[in-house]
Amino acid sequence: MTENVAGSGPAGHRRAASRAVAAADLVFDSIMQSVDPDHTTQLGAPTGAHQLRLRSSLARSADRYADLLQRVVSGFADEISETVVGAAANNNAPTDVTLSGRPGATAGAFVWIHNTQAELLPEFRLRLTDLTHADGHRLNPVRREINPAVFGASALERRSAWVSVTVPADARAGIYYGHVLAEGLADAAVSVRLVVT
Amino acid sequence: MTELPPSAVAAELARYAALTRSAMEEFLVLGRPSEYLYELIREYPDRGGKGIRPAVLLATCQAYGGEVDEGVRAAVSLEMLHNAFLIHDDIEDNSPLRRGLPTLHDRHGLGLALNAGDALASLALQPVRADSGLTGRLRDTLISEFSTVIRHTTEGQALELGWRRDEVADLVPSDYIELAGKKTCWYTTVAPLRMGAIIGSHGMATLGALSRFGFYLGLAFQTRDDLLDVERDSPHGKAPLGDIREGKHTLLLIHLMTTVDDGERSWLANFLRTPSSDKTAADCARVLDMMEQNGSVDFAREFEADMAAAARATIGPAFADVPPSAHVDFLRGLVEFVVDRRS
Repeated sequence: MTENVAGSGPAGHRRAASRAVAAADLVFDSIMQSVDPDHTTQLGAPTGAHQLRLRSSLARSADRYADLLQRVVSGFADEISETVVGAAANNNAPTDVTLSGRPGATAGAFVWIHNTQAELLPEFRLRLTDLTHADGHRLNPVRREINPAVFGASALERRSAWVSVTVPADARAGIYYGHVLAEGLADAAVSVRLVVT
Repeated sequence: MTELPPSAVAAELARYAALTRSAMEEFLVLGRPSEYLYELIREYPDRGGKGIRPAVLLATCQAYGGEVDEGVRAAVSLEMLHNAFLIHDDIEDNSPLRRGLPTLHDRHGLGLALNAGDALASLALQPVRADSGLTGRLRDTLISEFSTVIRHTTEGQALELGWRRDEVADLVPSDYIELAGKKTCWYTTVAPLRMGAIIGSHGMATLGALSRFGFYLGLAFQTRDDLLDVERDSPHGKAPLGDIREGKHTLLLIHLMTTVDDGERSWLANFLRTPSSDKTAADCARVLDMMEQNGSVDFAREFEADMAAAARATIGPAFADVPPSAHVDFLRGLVEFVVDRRS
């Protein structure tokens, strides 16, 4: 194609036609270059009708199985997730907390309190019970502290607090057992183990 | 190899258009605010249209071994996107008529029309996304094709509007090819062919030769559109000499700008600078006379014939990987239909 003058006569028009097509090809190739080759699905040279039909059929089956597998796996993952989350939500058993320290030292750890009720608890108080050895000996800590000792929790919310005890200097080595209790939350007792080394 | 007569091609086009319009109904539900939005987005689809895009997509899908049901939602998406483009196109060009009736912005005002175009464009991909008949991989591939369509079409429209704003006068026909290639060819012929082949072959088709065939066909289509604007008494549903009035960079105008003498070029530049509403019918007719006298109309006709010939020559390689079928015959007949059409 001439840029501004068409050819004259049949031969001239043929030349002009080939130039027009060449100009169109140039633009086409440039546009095609900007098309992401990854999604053109041009996986190879022309394959012929039979091969294309075969490949299409295989791709169709593979895609259907892939989708099916994805749905199955997705469903399975949902079930696992529901089971785990459900178990966690229904697990009223508190997590054990272990404190460890030498006589005269202070031992501390976080405790997690779970409001298992479906309603807001605007305020509840935590307290640490006495700590008792298996032989019945009761430890009398120099200091016991829970921080914060009073707080609220939304429905099904978990809140944490720092519990610490200062082991008496004359304490006997051994394991002492007690609980962190939440007043107003009967299910929220957390077992506490104090290991005096 | 059989070539369908134009009447048979027209009947097939009408059948595909009706099928697509019917499937579109599911996605053009009326909601609130109905009178300000949902009724508006139905207006252009309800006015009908040639249905070339869905027809090309569905015929290609079947040529590659797919079923109509597998391709129809992609066809609906494409047609909805096309109608969204038309709403915005009419605003950008300040066109008074679309498919023989007042344009959406003329009827409802600029703001509501613009908003309806936005809504239709965003709803357009819903049919493909909701197509449970497509596998995830194919859906992703098609969404990617739609992204390419939107990118090329808006790039083409930007060229057109930018050239007009900046009164660019030193354009040559290869600029026209870039403009029409992006603005029209990609979403009218290239993308429908590609999408149909992707769906029908389940992503296994090679698309290069198919795209090239579509490019030639699209250029022939756009050049015919340009020519219909200047062919007197043409029943194409747009205002007579509308492209001239709007100063559109048709192949005829670009050719004219390269052939007129300095005095005429100066007059022409002044004419193009004048707002559409202030251009007189006599001045539009004068531009048409200039086009005829300077060989611009003949140049466009030759270009159209060249592109149609190139499309005829490349349809064989384009469909080399599929067996002969009535669907390929329809697409072959479509080449003749495109250049013979009067609307």
